[in-house]
Amino acid sequence: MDEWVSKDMVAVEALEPDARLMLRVREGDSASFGLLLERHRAPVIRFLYRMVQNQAVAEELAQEAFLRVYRARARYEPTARFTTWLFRIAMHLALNSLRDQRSWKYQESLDEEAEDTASRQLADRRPTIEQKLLDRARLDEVRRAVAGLPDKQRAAVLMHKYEEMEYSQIAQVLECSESAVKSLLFRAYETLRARLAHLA
Amino acid sequence: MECPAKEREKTVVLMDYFARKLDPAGGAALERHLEQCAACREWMRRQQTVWSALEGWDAAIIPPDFDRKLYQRIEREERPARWSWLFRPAFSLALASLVLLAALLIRPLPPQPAGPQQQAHVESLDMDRVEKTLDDVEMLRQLSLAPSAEPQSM
Repeated sequence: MDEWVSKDMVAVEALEPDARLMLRVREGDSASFGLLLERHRAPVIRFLYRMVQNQAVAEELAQEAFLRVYRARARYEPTARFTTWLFRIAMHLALNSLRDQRSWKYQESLDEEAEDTASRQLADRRPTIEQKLLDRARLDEVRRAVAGLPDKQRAAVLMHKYEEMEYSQIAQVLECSESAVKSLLFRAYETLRARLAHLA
Repeated sequence: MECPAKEREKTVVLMDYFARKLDPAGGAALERHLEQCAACREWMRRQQTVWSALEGWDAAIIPPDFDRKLYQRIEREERPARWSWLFRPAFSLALASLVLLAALLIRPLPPQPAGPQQQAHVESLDMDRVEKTLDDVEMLRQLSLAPSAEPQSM
């Protein structure tokens, strides 16, 4: 019995810290859920924001992602990295949301929000008005170029560029092979290089 | 070093260089190749434009009340609904039985000639049945309100 307990403890210790926390959440430790939330709240919101390009929708989807993690705590098994699981949930939510919103309303909200976010994102740099306008135009170009990518290519680029995930982890999130991820990234960056060439 | 820009599969090396994922030896080899290869330098220049543009895209604001909203949602899901006992099987069964019995009791009897003593006897029998039924229903209701032995899950 002691040997089993000891083996289990060794196995748990060998896990990544997030998986250990999630196992504690499974045992009913809500403080560990708070720690996971603290660590991953910002990356998840940012990823979702860049995916759907709408602050309110991103926040709502991030809430739903963490809620699903909490709901699934009793069934959690550390078979993959915690972030892989979390981003897979977030990505599915984003893809569903994008599918639901593909209408003129979505494009309209994109345009409306462009003004808000551009001014917010550049507010602390205190640039001149001309510089602000240039930065805003540049940011709009980037956002549109990324928004124009097919959903999976966009998700792959965001995870590669901003989350600095390995190809293998992106593959697990997207539920495809590593070579498929490399192909997605190759095509996505090729498209972006063409669309953003004039910014050089 | 073979030129990475010439083959699609090999451009991964260039992407990895940008993502700072190449090991030092691989990075040094690529840098030596770049000095001689105009195609790769051009690829790098264009990729640098994309990389810089993406870096300039700041992310969303993290709402200060994000956690509070999330915990509220969790609490709402975990708190049993006020009238959830209405939907417990034991209570539903008791309620259905009560309705059935009430329907049977209220149903008008076919007219039968009977003396006043016989009628009074029938009425007292019906009242007994009603009282017994109500007792049964009360017992079932208490059973259904008793805390469940099963753990609550989301």
